[in-house]
Amino acid sequence: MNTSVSVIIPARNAARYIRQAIESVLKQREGEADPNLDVIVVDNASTDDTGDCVQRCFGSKVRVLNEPKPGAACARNAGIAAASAPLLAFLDADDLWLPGKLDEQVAVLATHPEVSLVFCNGAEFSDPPDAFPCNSQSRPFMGPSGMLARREAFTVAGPLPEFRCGEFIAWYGWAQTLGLRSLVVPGSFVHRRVHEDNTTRNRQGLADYALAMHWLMERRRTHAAAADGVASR
Amino acid sequence: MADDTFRGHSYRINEPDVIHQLFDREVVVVDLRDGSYYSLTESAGAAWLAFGSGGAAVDAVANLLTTVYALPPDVAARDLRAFIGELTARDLIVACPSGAAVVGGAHLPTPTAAYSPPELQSYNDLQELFLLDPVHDVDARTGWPHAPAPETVARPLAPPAAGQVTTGVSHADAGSDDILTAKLGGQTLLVDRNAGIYVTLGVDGSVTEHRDLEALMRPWLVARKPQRLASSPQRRQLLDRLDMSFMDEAASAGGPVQRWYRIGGHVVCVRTAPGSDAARLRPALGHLALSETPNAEADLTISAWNGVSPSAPPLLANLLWRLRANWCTECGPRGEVLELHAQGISAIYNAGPDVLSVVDFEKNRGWLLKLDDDAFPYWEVGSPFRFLLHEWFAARGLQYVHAAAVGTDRGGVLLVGKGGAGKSTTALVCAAAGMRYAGDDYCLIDPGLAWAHSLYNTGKLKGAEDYARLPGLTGLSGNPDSFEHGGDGKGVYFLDGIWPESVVAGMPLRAIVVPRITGESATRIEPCSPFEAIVAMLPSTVGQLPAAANEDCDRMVALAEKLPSYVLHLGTDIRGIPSTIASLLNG
Repeated sequence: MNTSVSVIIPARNAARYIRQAIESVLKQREGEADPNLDVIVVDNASTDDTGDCVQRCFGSKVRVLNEPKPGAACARNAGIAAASAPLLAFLDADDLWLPGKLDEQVAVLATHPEVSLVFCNGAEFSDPPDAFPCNSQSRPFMGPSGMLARREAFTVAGPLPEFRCGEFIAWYGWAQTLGLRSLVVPGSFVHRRVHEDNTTRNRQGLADYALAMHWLMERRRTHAAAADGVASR
Repeated sequence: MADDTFRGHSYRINEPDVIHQLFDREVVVVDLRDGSYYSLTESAGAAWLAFGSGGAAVDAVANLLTTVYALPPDVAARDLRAFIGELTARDLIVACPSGAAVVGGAHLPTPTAAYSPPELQSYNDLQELFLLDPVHDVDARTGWPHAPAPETVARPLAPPAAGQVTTGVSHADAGSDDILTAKLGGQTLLVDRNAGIYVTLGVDGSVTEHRDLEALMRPWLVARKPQRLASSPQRRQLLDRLDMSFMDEAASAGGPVQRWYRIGGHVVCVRTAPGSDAARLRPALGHLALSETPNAEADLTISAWNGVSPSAPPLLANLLWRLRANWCTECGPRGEVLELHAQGISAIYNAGPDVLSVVDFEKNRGWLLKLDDDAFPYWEVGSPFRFLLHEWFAARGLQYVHAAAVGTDRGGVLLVGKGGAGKSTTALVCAAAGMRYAGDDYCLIDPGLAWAHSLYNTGKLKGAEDYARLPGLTGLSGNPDSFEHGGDGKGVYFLDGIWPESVVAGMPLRAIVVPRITGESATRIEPCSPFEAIVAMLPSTVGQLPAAANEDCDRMVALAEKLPSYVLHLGTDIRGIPSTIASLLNG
């Protein structure tokens, strides 16, 4: 199996954290400029020097894309479109991976051809330490930073719906409906940073959870109707 | 369900925890608290939108359904009741004071199908993902990580101006437990720990103010009495971390040392870390130790250790650090740790000895952690776990009291009074004379049975001059900070090793006795009112128990109502003391 991985890092005003995030990705595979690791930072309309910072620190080891349409979903979709590898991983710019994350998950996909998505466990940490309540016990990390996916998963289920929040939940629900199988590897490989400005979502954005669930329910209904149609013929 | 259930009530959508949006003819509802989501169509969607964010009367919504779907009114009302039952069971709508009395249909989708009763399609297949979304672990209200919620950082009020606090409610929002009240025989005792005073109101309307326990009540700590918060996963997690921290500490020394005791009829397990100074807290309970490991789980498990491990989990380490650095803003007036002052939890930090006492009522666990590495002071060694035992047993109707108990085979007397009143001397002199001994400073009272359960087999002496009266104790204090060993503390004597035949686990009480030092040579005893006994016992008890409440007063009053009370005028010829008490019991 081709074990090349494209790692998609959506970043909006993430200059403060992104260096650590990228370093945690590059450490996954020792050896300089590993051709099996395609790191894509998608600069999502940052107003700080996120893009420059990445170029300056990592040069050609990392590709930087620009996606002006705001939203993590838009940035991830841009990354998916530009990705070259058969396996896709995601990392939020403020999160960190622990060593071994990709190897563990790639091994699962290599031995389980029926599985399309592999998650791992993860825990939160507060930055600065102890400033924010967080769950430091590791638990299944069913979010983008914890997932390694076959590219076909996005061919089958389509790109992420572009909502301000709930987009990954809805997409995953849809992927489940389509029968894409997922597994969680036992190790804990994601450290989620809890900090003051965790993301660009706001109160207003919360309403998008309803949009995302509506999107999912509509698709499921259409899907069920189509399946019924097939069955009745 | 009664027909008028919900009638006359109003409900609103439980925002902001519950969000919704109308899509064409479907209302999608998401409960951000648990990640369940719902689809409401036709009549259900119309009813939902009619309740709205602002709320509406149930009758108004029923009328709307009646009109829109041309229904008989009783059908609409009946179906709506069932629907409201379902929504309230899931906490999706909540009662509100008075919602709209009339709701219009202008903003509602036009019905597209024949009427069917309002129905909720519910889904919970994506809960794990919802709960992982940052918005949920952090704060569903603001949607973002935030500094600790304001409720956990209640700040003290400005100190009251000099002379402002005399009696009565000392803070505008004082709860009922700020003034403790005991009524007996037409007389009233009021204790205001915030003011450091207690007041007696006589039957004739006389008012007497007492300030002698000011030092005990520490009224100069003017922090606002904290409200008890709701239990939360974060708070309960801190308890687990506290326990984990103890277990790690114990594991690094080879595993916890466990001993079992029968205290007040309950099995209490005390765990210490091997080699920890906390092991010195056990001998005071030695006379109550079980000889065998019990088969069943202990009723209460107390873990005691000292020193904050460098590997303590960060949130806990941070809390402990804040307590030590800034306890006056992290604690309430009686040391209540604000962050843990919640339902089912009690946490008291005692800044002097640097000791944190925590009780988890839900899981019957207690922890006593001395944050620094210093040795436990004599009063912790002599009467350990005071706050823990007070609160845990209070929940079981047993009263921790500041009192001594001695007696004969006919029963015992409870010796009550503030420090220095002569309780300890009286009790020790009686024990030395071969009488039964259940404690010289603290006991656990069962007011229903008028029974004194022994807590500690220890006795305490202030200085070498006490050996003139109690020569049998000379050289036997067991604490390194004793005056006898060059320290500046009282001597602590473990009497189950010194006078083992005297030490008992408990005794039925026959009387409450108030000792008074007289200077006369002979000891004599005379009856007094139960109220006098309460005035001697109650303020000094509640003054040193941070969690004391009016229930404590009730239990002490119940005991005083049951027993005769006496004043014991202590003579300088101490030989008369045991015989006077013995003849009271035998008489």
